[in-house]
Amino acid sequence: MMPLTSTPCLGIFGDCDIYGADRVVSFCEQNKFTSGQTHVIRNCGHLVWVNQPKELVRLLSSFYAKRG
Amino acid sequence: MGSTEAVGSFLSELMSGKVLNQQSMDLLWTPQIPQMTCGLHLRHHKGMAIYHKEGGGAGCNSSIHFRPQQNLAACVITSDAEFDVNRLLDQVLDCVVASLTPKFSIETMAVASREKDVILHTKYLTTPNASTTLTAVPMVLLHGGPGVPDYLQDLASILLQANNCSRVICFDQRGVGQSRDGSKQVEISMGLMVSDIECIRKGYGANRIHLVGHSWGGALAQYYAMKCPNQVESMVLLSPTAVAQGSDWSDMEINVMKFNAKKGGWVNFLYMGMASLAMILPFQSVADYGAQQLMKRTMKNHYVDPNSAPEPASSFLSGVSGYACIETKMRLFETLQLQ
Repeated sequence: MMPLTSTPCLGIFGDCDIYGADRVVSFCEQNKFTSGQTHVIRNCGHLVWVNQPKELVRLLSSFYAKRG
Repeated sequence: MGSTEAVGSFLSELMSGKVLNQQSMDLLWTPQIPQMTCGLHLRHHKGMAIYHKEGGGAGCNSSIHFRPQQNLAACVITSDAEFDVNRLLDQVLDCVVASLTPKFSIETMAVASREKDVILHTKYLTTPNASTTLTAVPMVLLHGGPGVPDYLQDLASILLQANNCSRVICFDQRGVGQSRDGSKQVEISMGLMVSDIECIRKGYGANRIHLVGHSWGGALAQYYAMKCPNQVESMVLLSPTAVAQGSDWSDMEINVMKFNAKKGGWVNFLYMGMASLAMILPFQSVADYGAQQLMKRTMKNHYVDPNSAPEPASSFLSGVSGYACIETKMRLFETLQLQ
């Protein structure tokens, strides 16, 4: 098991990703003791910035706005 | 067509009704004579959804394009019924996007690894808007694969354009792209990959970095953050793989194989199987060719609509390494089992 650190973490997945949705469950399981956030973007494959760039920018801007 | 700016201005006027009068707009939207036909279609261009309404007949041909992802629309009418209006609009709107995209400064820098066994090829993208960005800490992007060269420059542009940051570093991981030394097979381990990121961080004079890892790069980001927690400001993991136990990766690869068989058919699946076998042969050129062919096919399935996926550039494929792909996965498995 590769443990997640206490580093602020944002996980983003596409619901149409070829690599499957099981990873999201696994990721959330690992992430539940940390300050991490997880988002699943609809109608999105493995290349989030190609498929849903607007939603990606929205999530990233919100995340980095808190980091400074 | 004088310049991309002129095209943008023309399209803006077109959409505000200054070029087409109301009568012609009505004609475009609603066929006024029975000989005309129209239809609303959805297709993909460079991985993006394009909606277009086409009208034809009575000696003319017209199309209106909508690109919701880019907030763009345009239309064209021609008296030549055979003219490929959709191709023209694709080209014109690509020009508009290029003209609207802010220009970034891109520099390259060669960074020596700690053991001096490999020269890491890095790209440094900066924007002059440093005072308005959300963070002053530089971002380091970790590409996926493993075994393929960097492909995250478009993502870097998005981060800069959205004013998330003013400095982004991309690089070819050891053994791939321009971070490989001809036929020499460089040693690969998770520890060496972490030390490579450290060399790049120090090379650019950064105390701390934001990590953004895509796919396999997400696993590498987590491992780096675990080993060097004081250097990591934050992590963004995009579609990360291998986020849990090693067995998860095996299950994932089986699922991907099934998906590829379903999407591409059994002939394509057998071809991919042969390419996978070629990757483990002890001849570098054969292994690289196998990896390139495999990537060429699987990468299309990274798109929601594989048929819309662009062909990978030859410069990208030539940087793919069969050895780096196999070796990195093996070293990752070893590391995961030791955790």
